[in-house]
Formats: sequence, structure tokens, C-alpha cells
Amino acid sequence: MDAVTQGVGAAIPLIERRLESPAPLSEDGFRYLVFNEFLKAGVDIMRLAPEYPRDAHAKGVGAKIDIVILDEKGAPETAIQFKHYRNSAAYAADAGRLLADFAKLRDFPNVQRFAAVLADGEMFRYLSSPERGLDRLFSLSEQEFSDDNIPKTKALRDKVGGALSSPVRTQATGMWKVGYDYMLFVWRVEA
Amino acid sequence: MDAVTQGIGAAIPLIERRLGLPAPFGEDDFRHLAISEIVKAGVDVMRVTLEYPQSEEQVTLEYSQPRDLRAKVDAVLLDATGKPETAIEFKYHRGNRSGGNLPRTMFAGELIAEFAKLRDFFPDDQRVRRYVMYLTDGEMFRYFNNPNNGLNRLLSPFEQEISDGNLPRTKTLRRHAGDWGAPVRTRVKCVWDVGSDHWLVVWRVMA
Repeated sequence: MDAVTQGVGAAIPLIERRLESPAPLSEDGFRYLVFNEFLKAGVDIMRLAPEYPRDAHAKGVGAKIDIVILDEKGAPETAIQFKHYRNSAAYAADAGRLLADFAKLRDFPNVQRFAAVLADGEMFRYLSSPERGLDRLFSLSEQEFSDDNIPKTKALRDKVGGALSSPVRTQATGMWKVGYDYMLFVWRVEA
Repeated sequence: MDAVTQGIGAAIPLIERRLGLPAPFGEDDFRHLAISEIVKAGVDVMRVTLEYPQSEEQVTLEYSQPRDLRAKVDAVLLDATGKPETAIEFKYHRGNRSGGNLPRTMFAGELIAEFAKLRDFFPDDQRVRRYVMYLTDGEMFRYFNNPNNGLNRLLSPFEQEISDGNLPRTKTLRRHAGDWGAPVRTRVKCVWDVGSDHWLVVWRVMA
């Protein structure tokens, strides 16, 4: 198992405890728990760079990668995007954001790329419903997503923008049931 | 010394090392380094929450409505019962890589807004300890120290009161400081020369 999937998996007991506590777990909180597991696994904190710029010119929303693990020379080695879906009122748009994250990772060059998603039961049921056209996200074989084969739903397409005019390939590397009604996934993303 | 102050102090060598690396260093790097050291200083990671809602009412809303986009507090440490015990805001201001002029007045307003944000965090709970952790470069530090800018008392070791009546009138500062309500009392808890022409200031904020 790769170190990223292992680190995300190791965070599950903490995520479960946090989901059961009265304090809300934010996306940043989810990310920090995984960050903490990387440290426990021996990754030097100097190599962990949250909110790493995609490039020198990118600005605004989406301009940064959630966590980049640097190599010993300080160059990006692994890029990870995190999503935490809960109480969604816009499933299609949220699904579009996930696909846009895949594309964002694809465009970050010369690294290993992963997306880690914590989703409540409602969001998972949306994504995994065959009627929505995204259930192959959870296939254990490699999948390709592009403008040609993603759902036509407008809200989803609006969030994807033109990012999937060239395809992105994904491979699930970890799937877990977390707590009472949450699912946690890790995908490897390839250009 | 409490775990928060101990943790932030322990983060300084790490911050200094990161500032010396070619990889970009941002506010989130600062926050993660500090929190990690606070955890190493003995705070259970289960007690650390990031992006915590501003009030009990907003905590309830988190569970019943779609994503709440209202401002959250950067980090909150919970007590054993899951209630907020310590609230921390992080800010990092530095010069432009392009070498252009630093928007110092705007940055000053943004820092002052953090004090007000903490004042309004669970305002009725007197047990909550509130901290602003501010990392900045020499240019901004000198700006605050310059009496002509009217903010040097922020760095006084004695308790200060910030209110609508005693903030500088500068329009840009006022715009970025946001709506100013009741006075806020602050006290510098620590100041460190971090190296690489950077300074770290920790304030305690009293509601």
C-alpha cells in the first residue's frame, strides 16, 4: 500500500472519534488528522507543505494544492487534495468539484497525485447511484473521466468547467466505512 | 508555561527552517507547524479542531444546514467535554515576492479584525482563552513599531484596549478592520525574532 493511502487509513480511528464528538469536523480538520498521521509515520514536518501553489501565477479559489509532500531537495513529490462532504444541498455541484479536483491534480506535473474524500452517507449514496452516472468512481479498476463520459447535469458541468477536455484517469486505492454513516475514499490520479 | 505558548515557541526553529527552504511558505504552513508543536507539547489531537464556528448557535447549524460559509476561527482546542477552551487565530503577512509595495495599512486592518473576531467567539464564555499568533516580516514589524502609524502600543508589554475611539482613522485600515463593536483588550504574551527577518508575536485577547 502506498504511504498516502496508509496515512489516510491510519487516521480513521481519530476521524471516527471526532465525528462522534459534539465539535464539528471541518475539511481542514480532516486534513490535519491525516497530516498528523504522516508525522506519526515518520514524514519530516519540513517536507509537508499545506496549501502549496499550483504554479507561480495561479490565484484565487483552486490556486493551491491542499497538501504537497516535498522530496529531500524541496521539490514537490506527492500532491493530495482533500474533500469533506456533509449536509450537501448541491450534490451535483459537489460531484463536479470532485471531478475538478481530479483535473487540478492531473495538471500538477511530475508528482504522485491522490484525492482523499470523506463523504456522509447522503453524498455517498448520490455518487454511487448508477442513475447519476458516477458510480464507476468506486470501481476497483482504473477509470477515465472526460467531457465525453461524465454526466450532462448542468450544475456538475458548471463546476468542472472545461477541465476535463482532456481525460483524467483514476484508480481507487482505499475505501473504508467510517463511523455510523460516513465513507472515506482515496484515489490515485493520473494524467 | 501553558501548552499553547510552549508549542508556538517550539515551532520557531521549524518556522525558521521552512523560511530558509525554496518551497513557498504560507499561513497554512505556519498554522500546521504551530498546531503540530502544540500537540507535541501535550494537547491531545482529539482536542484540536480547525475552522471552528463562532458560536454555539453556529455549531448547531453546522449539523443541520449546507456548508456554512461564515467566518470560522482558525483553531480551537476543546476541553474534556468537547467545549471550546482555547481559540487561536493565525496570520502571516510578508512582502511581495515581486518586490512591489506591501499593503501595510490593509494588513494592519486585517490583523486588528482578528482581535475583534476572537472577542466575538463564544462571547459569553469567560473560560475561553483567546490568542492571535502573528508571523510577519521585518517591514511589517517596523510598520507596527513606528509611532507615526499609531499602532505601536499593540506591541507594548502592558494590557491595551483597542476601540473605535483609539484606532487610527486611516480609511484603508478601518475598511479592513471591519465593523468595530465593543472594545477589545489585548496583551502581548511573547515576541520572538524568528530569523530570516521575520518576527512572531502572540497576543492574548480578553473579551
